[in-house]
Amino acid sequence: MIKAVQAQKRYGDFELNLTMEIPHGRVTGLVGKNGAGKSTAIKAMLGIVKADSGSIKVMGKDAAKLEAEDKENIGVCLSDAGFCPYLNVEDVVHILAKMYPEFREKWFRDKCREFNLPFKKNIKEFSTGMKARLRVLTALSHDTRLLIMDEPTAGLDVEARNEILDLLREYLEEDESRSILITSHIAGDLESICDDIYLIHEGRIIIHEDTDVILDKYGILKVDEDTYRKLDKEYIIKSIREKYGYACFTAEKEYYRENYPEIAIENGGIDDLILMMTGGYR
Amino acid sequence: MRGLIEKDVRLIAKRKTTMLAFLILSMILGLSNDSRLIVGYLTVFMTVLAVSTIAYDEMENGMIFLFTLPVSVKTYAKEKFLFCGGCGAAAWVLAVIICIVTGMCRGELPDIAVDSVVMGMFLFVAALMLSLMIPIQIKFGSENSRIAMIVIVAVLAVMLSVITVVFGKDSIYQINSFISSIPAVIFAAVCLVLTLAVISASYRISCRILENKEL
Repeated sequence: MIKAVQAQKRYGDFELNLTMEIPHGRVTGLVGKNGAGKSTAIKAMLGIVKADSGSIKVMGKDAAKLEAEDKENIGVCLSDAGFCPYLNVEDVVHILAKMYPEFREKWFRDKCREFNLPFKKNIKEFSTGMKARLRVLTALSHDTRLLIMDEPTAGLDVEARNEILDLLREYLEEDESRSILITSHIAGDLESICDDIYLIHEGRIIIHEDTDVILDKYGILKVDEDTYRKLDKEYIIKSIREKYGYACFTAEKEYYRENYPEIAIENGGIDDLILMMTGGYR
Repeated sequence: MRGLIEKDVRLIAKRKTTMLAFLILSMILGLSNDSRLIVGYLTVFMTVLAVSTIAYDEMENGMIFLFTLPVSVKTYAKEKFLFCGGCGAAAWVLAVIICIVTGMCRGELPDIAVDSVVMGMFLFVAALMLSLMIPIQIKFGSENSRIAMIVIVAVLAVMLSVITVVFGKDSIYQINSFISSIPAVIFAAVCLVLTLAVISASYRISCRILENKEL
């Protein structure tokens, strides 16, 4: 669905260098700290930002040359962009009906009612959660093959987040060949829905791993200085100095569990992956 | 394109109170003064109002969002010219009707030969205005475009002053009398060709600005 090869974009000191692939029928997460390059990567994939070099293909086409017909097959939800705040949901229904031949008006209206989105109130009067729901529903409102979602659950409470994730699951169940690229800073959301995760840091992809592998095999060893000196470091990805000694991030926690039964080992998650690999672990 | 027009129609409809107020004001003006002025007021007002939809598009990063929809740079620019031109033309037609009716209310019969040239000029001016305003609004955004427009008007005023100083005050009258001497049909044809050329150039410039704009 999406294939980026050495796609580079430079803004002053920041340089995006993107190599990643989102195949058919996969839900891929793109994680990283604020300013890591997630939004720039997404804009580059949509052709909104043009790469200086390298290539980004979306559904086999150059991202920068996507036509209106190609975009009809892509549903997009951006974290901080949407319809003009002076429009209301009723306006949005009419606009989308004219914009997309495959617009599912009944579904969209039903979902808006289900999510308590008023039809006649201007979007500017919506709460953060209501705006987020409207953005996600807009992206899902037409028959798409690819969904690109930038922080779709940002600013939502647990219940609303689950509603959004359920919508995404429904979308995938309708057609298993559909793909989703999703960014989120909430690890729990990604762990429950993504097949694989890319970690981006300072504009570069530094890890790509299946979510199951991250959850099953990654872990953090907490060791004192003596144990650290004797520790086999072959499978240690990164070590960080702590008050008690060292926190060591590994992709083979079972190896250490078997060979060093006295060591305290915490299961690794996406949050740990981000924090350990981008220098924010405490 | 249809989606964008729908959006702009709905956005401009939100300003119906302003439009109604201006319409009433124009009618009062038409009944008390030269009713031909209504054509200028209404056409320019509606064109400016239509161009302001670009500012609405830019709110809350809306421009980025619009380009994630099935909208290309060319479609966006084309729609803006069609929509703004359409609004200006619709306002012009309405204003001409009001002008004739209010003129007749005051007991004046329309002088077709003179009125058609004057009213046609308002349409020409509105077309030039939107050709100038659309690329400026896209390039500089709603706030900075006002400054850009002030700068352009100032530059034009300076140029006019320079012409007056260099060639003398009579040069303006000479240009005016030269234009008046051109047969109406030829003058209308020249204006039409000029309008189309300016709109075409402005459309291409707008596309170029959008293509190079970092959203």
